[in-house]
Amino acid sequence: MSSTNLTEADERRAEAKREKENVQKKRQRGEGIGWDGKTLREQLAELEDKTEATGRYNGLSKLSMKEEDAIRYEQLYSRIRGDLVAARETSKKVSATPIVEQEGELCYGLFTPEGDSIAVSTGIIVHVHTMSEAIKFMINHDYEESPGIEPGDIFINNDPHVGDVHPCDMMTIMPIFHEGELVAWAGGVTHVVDTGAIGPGSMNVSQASRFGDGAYYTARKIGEDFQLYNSWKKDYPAKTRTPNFLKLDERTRITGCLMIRRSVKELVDEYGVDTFKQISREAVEDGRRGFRKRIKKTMLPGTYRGVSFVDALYEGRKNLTREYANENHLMHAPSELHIREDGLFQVSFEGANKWGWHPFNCTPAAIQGGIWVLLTQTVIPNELVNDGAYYACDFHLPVGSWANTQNTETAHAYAWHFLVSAWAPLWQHLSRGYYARGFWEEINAGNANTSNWLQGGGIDQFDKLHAVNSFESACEGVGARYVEDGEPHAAAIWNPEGDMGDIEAWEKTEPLPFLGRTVKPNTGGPGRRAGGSGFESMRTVKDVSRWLLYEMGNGYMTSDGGLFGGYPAASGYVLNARDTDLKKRFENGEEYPQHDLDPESGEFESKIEGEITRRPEGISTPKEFDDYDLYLNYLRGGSGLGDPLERDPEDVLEDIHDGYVLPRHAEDAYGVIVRKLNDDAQHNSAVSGEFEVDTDATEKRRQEMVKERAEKAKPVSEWYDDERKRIINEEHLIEDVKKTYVSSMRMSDNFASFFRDFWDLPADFSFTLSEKTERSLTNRFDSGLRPKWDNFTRSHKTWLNFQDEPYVPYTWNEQSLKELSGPDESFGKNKTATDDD
Amino acid sequence: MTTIILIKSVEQEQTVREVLGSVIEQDEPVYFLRLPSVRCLGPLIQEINPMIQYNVDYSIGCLTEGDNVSELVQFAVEKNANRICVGISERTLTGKARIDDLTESILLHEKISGNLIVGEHVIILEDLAYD
Repeated sequence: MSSTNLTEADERRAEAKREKENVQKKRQRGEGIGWDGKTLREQLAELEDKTEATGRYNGLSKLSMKEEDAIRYEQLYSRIRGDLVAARETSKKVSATPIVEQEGELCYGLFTPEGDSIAVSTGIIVHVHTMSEAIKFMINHDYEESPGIEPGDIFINNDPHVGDVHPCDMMTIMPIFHEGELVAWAGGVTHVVDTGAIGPGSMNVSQASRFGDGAYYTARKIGEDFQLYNSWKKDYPAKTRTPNFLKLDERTRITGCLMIRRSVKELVDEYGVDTFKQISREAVEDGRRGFRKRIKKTMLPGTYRGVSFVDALYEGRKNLTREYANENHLMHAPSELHIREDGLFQVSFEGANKWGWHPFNCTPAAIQGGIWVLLTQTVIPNELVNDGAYYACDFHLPVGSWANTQNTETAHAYAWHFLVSAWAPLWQHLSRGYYARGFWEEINAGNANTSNWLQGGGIDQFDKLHAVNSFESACEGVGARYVEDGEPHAAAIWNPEGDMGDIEAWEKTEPLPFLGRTVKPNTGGPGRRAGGSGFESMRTVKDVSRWLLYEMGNGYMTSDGGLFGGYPAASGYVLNARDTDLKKRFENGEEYPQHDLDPESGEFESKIEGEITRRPEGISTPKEFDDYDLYLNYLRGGSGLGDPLERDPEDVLEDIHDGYVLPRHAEDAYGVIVRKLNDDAQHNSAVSGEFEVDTDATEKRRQEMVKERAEKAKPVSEWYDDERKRIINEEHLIEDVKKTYVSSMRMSDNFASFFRDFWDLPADFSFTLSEKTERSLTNRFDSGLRPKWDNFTRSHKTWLNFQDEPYVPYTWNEQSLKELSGPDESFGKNKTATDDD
Repeated sequence: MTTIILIKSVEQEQTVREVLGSVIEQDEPVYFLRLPSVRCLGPLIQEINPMIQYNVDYSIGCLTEGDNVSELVQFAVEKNANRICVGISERTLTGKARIDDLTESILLHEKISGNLIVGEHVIILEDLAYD
């Protein structure tokens, strides 16, 4: 450490000491550390009360600073935001793991004393709200009294029930004081590579409950005077397989938080604390108004409905931690979005099925944070991104469902699997609204299922215990837009600045050399506008012992269904080979697999001997790999938009040359017939050859396909009758599907009524389940609730059903889907827009 | 009309509700002042939600260690308060409100005078005048 740094650190500690004396004096006088002598909990209680009573953040009716000096307001806010981004960009270069440095899996936020985000940096901006909840947890559980919140304190949290998506997102939180008052919080999150779960990697998949998720640190104080406690430094490294990586990431977060703290102190010194307090409040209210304004401008008021599913198949899997976890799960996410005339945005997941003995369960903080990632990129990219938008929305997340377990026994290691899949209909709701209002440039078919997750660990190439978590998944195809194709291998929805990372960087830290990395054809959903393609990496294994690997992602099902006649993106599959002859092939200079461009071609199998696993599922539990084994890391594409038969044949030809579509699939999906002119590799694609469109044949084929469609089609009434018979007679319904619906019907009387009413079923209708399935449901339904919060905040009323009337209305059984909704539902029962909205 | 509610204990929810529900008019400013012995009014405010339930505009503050009554009176003078409300904490065997030491000190303070009204859970000194 340089003398300059020592001086700065010493100054910081001296300042903290002075601040602590101020705090001590205030405490002796009976004052709290909040503004004007209030305790933080008083301040939070008052803020929530005034916000809900007035509909405006802290009751602010006027944005005085913005209205009186808009330039100064924008300058100050931009400075705060710029300093957060600078903290991110600098700290990841100071010290960070490849996940953080290569993929940018970190994010910083500046928060009000009550825990509302004022501004966030770029990066994994899901944490615009998760850290908010962690701060509110500390406030509402009287941390001001014990363990105390003082200048120079350092806190950590990774508990999803407190405020996080999953435990591998570790957050460092620091209070910022000025003259004895807590004026703000700085917070930073990084995705760490291993949390000490029962299997290696950051998001293990074989555990049944939270006790296999790894270490949970529940809003814990881990340092004071800007120094970590010895007890903490001796504690967490041994709880992970990658202690040095966790130390690196912790230094990253602390560096960023200190930079943010310094920035706030400078701003307060320059402009005064009152100005800082004012912009803190106004920015959140400005964010709320910006969100409302944007919704009112771009969306048609009304109720939007949809549903999504995704698979998590565990039946017959090895290495599960509990026998009762040996079963398949289908996530059921009925989604209802109410857009009100005043711009209120209400999301309901009523009818979601029960949580399961798997690590894909969500907490409200995860759902809300996750949906914010979507909304910030779709609804308010040009507005302030902060918790103001949180205050503009309501969520109904049924207690006991996968979306809100309120049970500290449930596992959450990869909550994103259900979370990303569940919000697929939200894309469609928004896009339909945009279409109705003519905002066609905003329409998007949806994001990719952000998988596969290559994870594992064991003894690595340096003979050390290690774990890996490839973040190539931060680079998926993007859904098609109304006016453009989706971007291929571009980003992940949870990190708009995501990247696949340099191969060289991954190879330094993972004993998994790349044999190839290329665009993966046929992964983007076909459509008039095609979904962006995913990509794939073929990895082998080198210089390891007792090394485990596994897969994680969607398999049989694809959660995003495509839009306006577009097709879904390709679903996932697993491909790996063990006990191979790869070494011999290297030695003999023979061909070996570098990719799996066409899974049906048999090419992969023709280039390797060994125990090959190829199956149409996305999840596997940890299994042992040895040197020269193969593992395909396949990253998904986005879904398509519009009828594929309307796609310009020349665009399809370009898709072939770019490696996005295989020639034979051009005909299957698009009705485009191409002729191969030569085998020369003239394009940036792993599929070599020059093609041209056979225009006449294409026209003929498309006409035939239209005719074939008409022949296969039947009236909706006929389809309805057939499906109804199928349900009543339980024909061709696998047990997993029946279990899913029974679970939702037991979770929600509303959903049960809707389901029976829609299909005109007897009032006592339910599916017949096997004894094993009944046992499974009973096992989980009887588990009851084990909430983490003793003192819920006012905002949590949408987490819980503690009022007689659900805060977010449920209209599925008020109006049949067969009827059009009337204007009263959207306009008649709600207040009209106000000027300040 | 400006009202000060002096909080001696977080158990005084009924006192606060009586004042907000029966004593003050809507939109009147209210100051919740806690004694130093009360560490935090957060749970009480979260339970009552004065603005949501009673439509009152309010502030929260605390009296610091020392002469609480003088500080209270000074605060009342600064805010030109019209009434001070104190929860009933002691009762006789027959259930009548007993004037506790704190309330007595306020009543006897030389700079302040007013009319004493006793409610079900609260003692109110109203129509305050200052010397």
